[in-house]
Amino acid sequence: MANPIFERKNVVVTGGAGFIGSHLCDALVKDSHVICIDNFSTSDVANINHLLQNPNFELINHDITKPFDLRDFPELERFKIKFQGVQEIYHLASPISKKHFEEFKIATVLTNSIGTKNVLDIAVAHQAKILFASSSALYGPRREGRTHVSESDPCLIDHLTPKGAYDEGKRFSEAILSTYADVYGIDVKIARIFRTYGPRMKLHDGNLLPDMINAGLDGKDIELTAPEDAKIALCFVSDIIDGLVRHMRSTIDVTVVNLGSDQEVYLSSVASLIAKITGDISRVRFTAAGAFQEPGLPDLSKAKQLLSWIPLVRLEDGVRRMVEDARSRRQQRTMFS
Amino acid sequence: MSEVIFDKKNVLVTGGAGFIGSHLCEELLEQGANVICLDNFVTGQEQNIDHLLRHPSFEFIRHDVTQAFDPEAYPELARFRIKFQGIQEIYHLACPTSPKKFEQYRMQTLYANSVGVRQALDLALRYKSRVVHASSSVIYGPRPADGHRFVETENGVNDLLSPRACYDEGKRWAETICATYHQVHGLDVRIARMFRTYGPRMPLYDGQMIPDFITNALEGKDLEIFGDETFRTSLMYVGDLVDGMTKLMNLAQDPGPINFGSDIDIPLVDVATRILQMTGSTSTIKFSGSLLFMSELGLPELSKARDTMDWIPLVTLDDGLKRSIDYTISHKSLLGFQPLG
Repeated sequence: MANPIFERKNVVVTGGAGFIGSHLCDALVKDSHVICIDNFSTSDVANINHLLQNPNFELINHDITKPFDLRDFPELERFKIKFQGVQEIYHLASPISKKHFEEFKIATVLTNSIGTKNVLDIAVAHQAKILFASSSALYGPRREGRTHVSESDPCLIDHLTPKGAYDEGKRFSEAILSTYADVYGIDVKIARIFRTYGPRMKLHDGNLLPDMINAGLDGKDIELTAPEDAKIALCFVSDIIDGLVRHMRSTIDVTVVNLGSDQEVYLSSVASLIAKITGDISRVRFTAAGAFQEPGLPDLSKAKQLLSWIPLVRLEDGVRRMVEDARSRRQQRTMFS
Repeated sequence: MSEVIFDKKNVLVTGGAGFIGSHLCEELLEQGANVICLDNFVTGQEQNIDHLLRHPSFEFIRHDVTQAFDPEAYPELARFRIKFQGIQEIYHLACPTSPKKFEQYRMQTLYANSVGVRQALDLALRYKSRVVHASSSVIYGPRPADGHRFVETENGVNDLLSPRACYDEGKRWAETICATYHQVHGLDVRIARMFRTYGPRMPLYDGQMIPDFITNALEGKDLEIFGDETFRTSLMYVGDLVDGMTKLMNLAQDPGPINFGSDIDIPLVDVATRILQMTGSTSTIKFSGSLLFMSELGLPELSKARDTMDWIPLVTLDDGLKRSIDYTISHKSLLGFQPLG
């Protein structure tokens, strides 16, 4: 990493207009120059609207599967990249859409190969640290008799399923990172992120919590297509952001770290909580139980030991903030539609 | 696959100057196809296809598969009339494989398994070609402790952060790209999972051992095993593999991934001893440190290949070794027995 002889580090966030990316930009812009790269394939400019006027923030509308050089963008001149370089890269970009997954499959393939390569080439050019947002998906489904997964566990997934482009893509991206680390000696970090929730999650994309919140705010019953004893572990987005920043600042020998919640709660109690917060009208109903397959819970001992990180936000507080956000976004939607 | 209304089908082989690729090109020519052979000679070798260059149905283009390839831009391919006839079949084999120079080719390996696969599949989309993708037993992970034979349906366990990941994980990812192109575009792409293969034209002095055993036996030098007495592996003769790959291409329906390999496990020291006997050599066998890219590998379950396409490996080890020895003797002057590259 270049010596921090500058007031503010230059930090790149790919996928910075996404759900997690935008919260990360919020956190980083307090003490860094933030270069947010996004092509809005599944993200929303509304997530970063409030940052666009911030002098320490710049948005580059670019598809990372096309090669790029940060020195080519005139709008980045004030960050003096030619002299200062880039110190940190958070690589979060990947199309994510429950509803439109099919539509973005080829884009997912390209992002996880050429996209990751292009971002790593920037890291090599600037000798920047790079953190890759990986996913719990690569551990595969929960194994019989084993509730937790740790970073050294084997990853058991079928790479030829319709979800392969995403699941195996995250694996291949990790492999690209470790190969670059071997070949070019750059400092690479991998955060395997488990189920995360919070404000700015897409409301109408088939996601579990937003669907429940919408039902609650509409005063409809919250329908759960899961067995009644289904459990879920949820990590609030600000905790994940804190973990990502700590991970980036950790020493060079820290590579793969799980970030997520290891506290399971009943899905029904989450639904009841949402019903209560949204006005206490909705009832919780279970309909025909589909397959409800959660990955294992994260073994957090590495995150605790190496990053002094644990998730802190209480579920009730997190859900409250998410409901408030959903309420105001739904109002804006009605106002402008 | 687009209909063949022409005398000869047009077939593209990426990595066609490699050990396996060159045998495949030969077989396809024999079957009466026009063969377009692509290679950038990272680990492929010009001498592997030297004898094919004058064949009227063969054309070699030096090309890096990670770059887009427009066959209609090459005047030397004009006689295959690709613009009208298209390309009926693509065998995608291109990927660096070199136990000795594995480290040196790590980046190319990453690119071949991502960008390279994409280019090959995009070409197949353009011409509605049928594809056979050359995958590898490494996608299953290392030889399993319980000794079971790898079945096509199992998930496989490999370490995606190991120094070998560019190849091991790369090969898995390449299969995922194939599956995704099938899901999204309906492309007919078939996956051949190849286990350890040997035969004439295996690169010399590259850590592949068997070709070196033969050469050293003939020259009276020590035979070097990268590992110890316990190093076991299964060996399929390259002719059997090529037969399997063309059968897979010709099947009416995509059967899903198929294992091609031998399911007979044999200590490598026995192979070396057999070579000494067959060549009448008095050389000795010595053991050296193992190579990262030369592992034992597991064994394939072959029932799917047998049931779907009547394929089993036919060439016995003795026959295969004899052909390899004969090749080495007859190419002695050409090979020069000098380290290559």
